[in-house]
Amino acid sequence: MLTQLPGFADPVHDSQQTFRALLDALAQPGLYQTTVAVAPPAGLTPSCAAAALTLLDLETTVWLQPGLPQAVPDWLLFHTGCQFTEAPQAADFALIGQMATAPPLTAFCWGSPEYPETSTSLLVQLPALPGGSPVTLQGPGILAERAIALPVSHDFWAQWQAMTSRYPLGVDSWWFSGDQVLGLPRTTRLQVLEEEASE
Amino acid sequence: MTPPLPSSSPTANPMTAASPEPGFNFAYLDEQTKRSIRRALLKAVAIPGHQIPFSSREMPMAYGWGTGGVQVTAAVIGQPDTLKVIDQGADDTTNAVNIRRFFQKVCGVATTDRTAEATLIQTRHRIPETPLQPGQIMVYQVPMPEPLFFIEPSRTEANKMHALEEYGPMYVRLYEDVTQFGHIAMAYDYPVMVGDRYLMKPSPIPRFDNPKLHMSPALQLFGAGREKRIYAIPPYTSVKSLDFDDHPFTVETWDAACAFCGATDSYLDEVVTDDQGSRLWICSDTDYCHQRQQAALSDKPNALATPAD
Repeated sequence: MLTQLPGFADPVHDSQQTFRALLDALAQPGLYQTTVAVAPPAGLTPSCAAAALTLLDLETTVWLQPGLPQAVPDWLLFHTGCQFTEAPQAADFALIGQMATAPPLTAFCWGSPEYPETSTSLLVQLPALPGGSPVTLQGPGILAERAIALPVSHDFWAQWQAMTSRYPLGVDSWWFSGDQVLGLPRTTRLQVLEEEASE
Repeated sequence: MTPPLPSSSPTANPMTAASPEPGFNFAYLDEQTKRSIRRALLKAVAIPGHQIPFSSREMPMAYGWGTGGVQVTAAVIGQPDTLKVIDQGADDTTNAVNIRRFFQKVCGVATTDRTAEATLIQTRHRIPETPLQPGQIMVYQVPMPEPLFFIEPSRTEANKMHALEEYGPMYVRLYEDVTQFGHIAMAYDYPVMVGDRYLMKPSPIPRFDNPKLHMSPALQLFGAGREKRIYAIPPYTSVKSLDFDDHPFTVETWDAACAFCGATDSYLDEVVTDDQGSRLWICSDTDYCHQRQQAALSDKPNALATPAD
């Protein structure tokens, strides 16, 4: 048996509502949006599960971070029919359970200069929002600047900063916690990356 | 002789939501198609001004009637949305009426004429005069998304030019206007640079509307059905109209004011009123014009010599 957990109660309108949250999250980087909450399998937050049902289908290839419970691929396969890959480079979407142990950003597909849209999109689970040291974001969707805090390492932000200098190549990411989602598209630059004195 | 004047008030009251007609999926498209369009839209927002290919479907209207915009709207629209559809600024022209009726039929969403009340605005060739608000979404109908098409007809080569930011030929195109006419003579679909990176066609909006694209608080989505391309401008994104230091970008101006509302700050259409050469100028944005007339009437009754509603 693949899974006993249901998907969306109302597939048409729940996926539309979740899509609008994902769209707003990318259009206004760093602002939390609320998705429809679905009963997730172990290893996924409700908002990430809703995003997976909204984005994935037979045409998409998904990379799962090793260590995610077997309930995740079972549930995704039953509800979306998506394909799985072992290679992060080949994935349309990468499902990440813990950013701390995830591969570096360079492990994923950044697209090609002619077709930057062929890149991987990251779906990252967070234990709790907010947390971590604050950073200041700039770029499209942000009027002047926006301060956010994500529980990720200084090294991740250094990788992100290196990636944004390669625009239009890069990955786009959504960060999920509870029924909340926050977007960081490749256009979002860090204003200053301060050295953390404690590390 | 008083010429018959076109009414400036297309539909008096906002139309409220009704239940959609049975036999269609919500918003006409099937869920698989919506998902693929949605994935393209998300990439488009992440790479402002870059064209994303999408699997454009046949729609129950002909190419050239806004099938790209209709598919984008269908992928985005939800039950809480209030939809406004305009064609050349007007809510009451054939294209606008038909597309609005289409979405009423397949979604049962509320529709409105008022720019300020709309959450989703599908437009053909105009941006409303009323400033857009944060949270609003504009959907543009695009006939030809590729700005380099008339310079480089090969899509593969044009993609390479975008990748290399090789936009010199477009400046040459504008410079040819300067040498021929003394000024840049493109009146609509005036090329813009989005986020300092991608050259983009803003769809055939008049040059007058180009400044409204820049740092707009609204999310702007573009759909080209026949050409199967989607692109977007997120809110608060820099959009610069191409120009030269000695030939800066300018917008159209008129010597006349709107014959209905007296506006001098809106885009004016010329209307021929008889066969004796009489003509007058009226706002292209019917909602803006109507709001101004209402405001003037409530301030000073009988102040405006406008036709009775």
